[in-house]
Amino acid sequence: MNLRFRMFRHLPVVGVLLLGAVPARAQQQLLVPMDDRQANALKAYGLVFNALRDGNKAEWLLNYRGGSFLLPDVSDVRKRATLDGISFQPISAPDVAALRTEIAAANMDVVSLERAPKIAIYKPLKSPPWDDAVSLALKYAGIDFTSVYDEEVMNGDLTKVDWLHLHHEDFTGQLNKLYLGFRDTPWFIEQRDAQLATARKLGMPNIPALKKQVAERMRQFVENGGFLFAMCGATETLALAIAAHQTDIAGSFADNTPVDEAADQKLDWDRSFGFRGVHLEPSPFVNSMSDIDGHQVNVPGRRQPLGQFSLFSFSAKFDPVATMLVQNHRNVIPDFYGVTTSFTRSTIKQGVTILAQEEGAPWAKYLHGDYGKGSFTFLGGHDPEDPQHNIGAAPTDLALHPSSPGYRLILNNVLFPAAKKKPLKT
Amino acid sequence: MSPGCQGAGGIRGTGNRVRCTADAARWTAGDRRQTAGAGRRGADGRWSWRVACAFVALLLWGASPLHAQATSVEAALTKALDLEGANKCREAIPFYRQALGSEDPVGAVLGLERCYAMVGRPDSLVPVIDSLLLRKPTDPTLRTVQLRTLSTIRRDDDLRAAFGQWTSLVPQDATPYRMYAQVLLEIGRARAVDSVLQEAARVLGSRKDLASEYAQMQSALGLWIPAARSWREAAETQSYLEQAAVFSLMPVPAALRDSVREIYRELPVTLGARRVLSGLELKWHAPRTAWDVLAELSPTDSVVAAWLEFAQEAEASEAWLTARDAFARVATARPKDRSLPLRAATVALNGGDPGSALAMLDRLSGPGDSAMAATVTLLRVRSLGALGRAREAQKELSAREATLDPEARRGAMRALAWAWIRGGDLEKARVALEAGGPNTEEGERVAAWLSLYAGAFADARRGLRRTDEPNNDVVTAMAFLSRTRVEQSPAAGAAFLTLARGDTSAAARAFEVVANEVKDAAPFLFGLAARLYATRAVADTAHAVLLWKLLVETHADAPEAAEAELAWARVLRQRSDAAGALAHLEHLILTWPQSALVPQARKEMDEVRGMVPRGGIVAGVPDTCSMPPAGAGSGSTER
Repeated sequence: MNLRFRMFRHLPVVGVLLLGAVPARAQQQLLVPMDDRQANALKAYGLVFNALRDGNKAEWLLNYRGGSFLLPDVSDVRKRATLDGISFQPISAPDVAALRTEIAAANMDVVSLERAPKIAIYKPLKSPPWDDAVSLALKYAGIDFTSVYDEEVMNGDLTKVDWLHLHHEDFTGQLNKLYLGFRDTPWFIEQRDAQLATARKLGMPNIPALKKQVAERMRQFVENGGFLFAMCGATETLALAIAAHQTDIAGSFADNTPVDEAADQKLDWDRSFGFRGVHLEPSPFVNSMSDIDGHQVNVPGRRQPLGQFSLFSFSAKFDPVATMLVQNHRNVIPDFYGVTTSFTRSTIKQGVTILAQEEGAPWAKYLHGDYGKGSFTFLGGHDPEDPQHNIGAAPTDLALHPSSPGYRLILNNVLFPAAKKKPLKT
Repeated sequence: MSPGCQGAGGIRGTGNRVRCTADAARWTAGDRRQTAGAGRRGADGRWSWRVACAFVALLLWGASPLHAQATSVEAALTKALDLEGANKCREAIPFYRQALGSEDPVGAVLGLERCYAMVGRPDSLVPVIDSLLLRKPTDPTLRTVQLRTLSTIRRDDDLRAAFGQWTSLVPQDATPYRMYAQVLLEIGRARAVDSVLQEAARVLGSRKDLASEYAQMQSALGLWIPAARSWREAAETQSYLEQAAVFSLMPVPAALRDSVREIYRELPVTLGARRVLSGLELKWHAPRTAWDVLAELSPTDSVVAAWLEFAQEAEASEAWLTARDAFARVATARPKDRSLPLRAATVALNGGDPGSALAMLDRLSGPGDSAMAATVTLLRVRSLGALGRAREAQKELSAREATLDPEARRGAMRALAWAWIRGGDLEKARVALEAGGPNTEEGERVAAWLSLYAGAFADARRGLRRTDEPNNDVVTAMAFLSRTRVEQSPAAGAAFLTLARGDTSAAARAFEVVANEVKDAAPFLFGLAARLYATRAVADTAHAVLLWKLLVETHADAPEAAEAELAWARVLRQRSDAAGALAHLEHLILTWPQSALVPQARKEMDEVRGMVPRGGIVAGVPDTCSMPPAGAGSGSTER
């Protein structure tokens, strides 16, 4: 045996020794539990999002301990978790392997998260920074986003983002029918004048015409592969505005012409998101847009009390998207009002997935559907931790609700576009 | 007692007692008339005959079936009340039902309402009420119970029909509308109340009698501005609603409070409106504004009474200086009441303003009673002592010592001892304390402080350990004593004395110097010195930062290190150095993850990063995704 051979003969031993010398930390990962052991579930989403943004990979363990995350054990991730008070536990390679075996044998799955999506929130520049639940959640979790409004949308800025959030905007252009109650208040006048100015700047005669165009751009955004998440009144009014491309659904106080008497029949639901066979509320005196909303919070006599809604359980391996959207440490969540609180079942299109509903009630709370190459998710209600939100009420301080199950639903939507698409099993 | 009553002995019912009393009154009146008649005629025999007849008649009435029935009904009510009182509602129900046969069945009906609710059978009351209403169709109590019951069992159509039936029987009466509105409010149907009240206003031609219902409805709907106006209207005529108005309007969001203030400041200026506004300001944690609202009024008797009530409330909520101003104003309006300046001086002293306390006491002239003289002396000595005018305090005490009883004298001597402490003369303080007489708990406490100031830490530790004073001085002293094993350090004692004398700047320097002498408590003393440097009185944050840096870098194992880092970060935040503040907060969390200050550091880090709202309302546009849109639905409200 020559010297050279003798040297190589010992290589496997050296290799094993070298492997042993590699710090154990390099092999282990960080498990971020999302069950009741998690001290700050909302910031955990920010931790994952920012890890992805920094070029790391992550895994979402669907249905495992409330939808936990597996992250690489790198100093930046540890540091951020410690700073934000996020519970995590180092987990060795053999334990990760055991965990994967456990997941493979149950209604659980592992989804790779690869890239932090680019996020935009549609809201006016002069709106208060705490006026919608998604802004609150993203800011609290430390997730970056850009703001877009009518001009940016019309200028094509939606092509720069993956994920668009809408909240309480009235895409029918009727400013949530607040004209009668607030027409003399300075903020209402300012809002109306600003939107009217934008409409005229973009060559449109009034706000309903402007919003109809904006809604159409959003439809195209989803059709071309964008993810749209809407809450509160934006869900209903966006769908109405898209469906009303051939008819007038705005009252005369908004566009000087009355609502088309045959508007119900002229609404084009094949073109719109989520709903069908909707009856419009034509009266400017009734603070409701249509019969999509089951709760009708602002209509005396129609208002329905709040209950609790239950999240559906989906097959993680066969229905990963729906499973991602309902990951939570609670299955039953107290309901909360919004301009649109819920979605009447009779108006929901076939093929739309109901993610959450109130048992025994004729409405659903949380919907998801595919449209073109993209998808939309609608969550009714305004603020999960402020069930009866009132004008002038103080903004919700999420530091007081660090593991809010309602807010987790919003943040599930933020991470879901980061998931690597798997080939469909069905 | 009348013979009839004697005949019904043993019956305990209230109704029976009323009836017996009435019988007795009739008997006595008859007796007087008979006596007068007999006197005129001088016919004693005929008088005796009439009395005998009456007695027999009463006995016969007592034995009649009618009386027996009334008695049994009353007995049943009494029995039912007793059973209900003993939490035996199920057993009480048959007796209440038996008592429904009385002339006035309201007591029995109310009892049944309570008991049926307790046993979970509120629906059983419906046929009972229906049959009683055939006898008394317009009885407001029966009608109200009917509405409540139908509402409880959620028979909304019947509820609406019952209300309609009542209004048709008494079309010009506001009571049905008021009661129906209250029933609807109780079940949270505030929107429906709107329709009811509008209908009432139309039918009655005015909403005057329904102002409080309007106010409640609007408050329930969050229509704060109309609610404020309605509450003002209601409380003007019914002053007992003032407290209800305050509690109802208390949740008005901060952004709308100015509008509410304007409504209550509108002309005409009335005491009722001002009392409500003042109450609201107190609830909104603005006691000074609350007082200003009342202080603007001219001092009539009722206004002065309101001032006094306010002063007492402010005193109870420890808004000392506001209470002082209110008591002083009342004292001016009621110059003969010598207790008022004393109360003003007391709260002024509690509020840390001995100067104004002394000025109040100076307004007291002429002899008062001995108890008041003692109080005045004590307050003057305390005030002078707090101002560091120990000699004047001594003189004051010497001049008036004779007016004091032993307990008051001990108190005055302790106050004098504190005066000498603040004057820096520990020896005289000790003499004053000893002159106060035998040791008391309070005296031992002062002695413990004297030991601390003299640097005798063993005695100070023993004495202060027993104290239950809830103030920062004790906490600081005990924290220091628990950190050191040194038994004697006049220099450290002198530093504490300097602090007690109110010379914060010199105390900060002294603690910094002493830290090098009392080495085992050095981190604590550096931390204390830094805190004093950073106070508004000294405002030497640059020096404070030096000490915090020293603590963080060279005393990292001490508990004061994390505290120093947090304080340092706060100073940087105040200077708008967000990056610097963040660096220190992050360093704190990562270096001392087990520190009790970590949650606070995280909270402040979130604020610096803009992750959470800083509290209150962000100025600008109110949230338009809100309920309810005031007025927007008023044209379509449904009952």
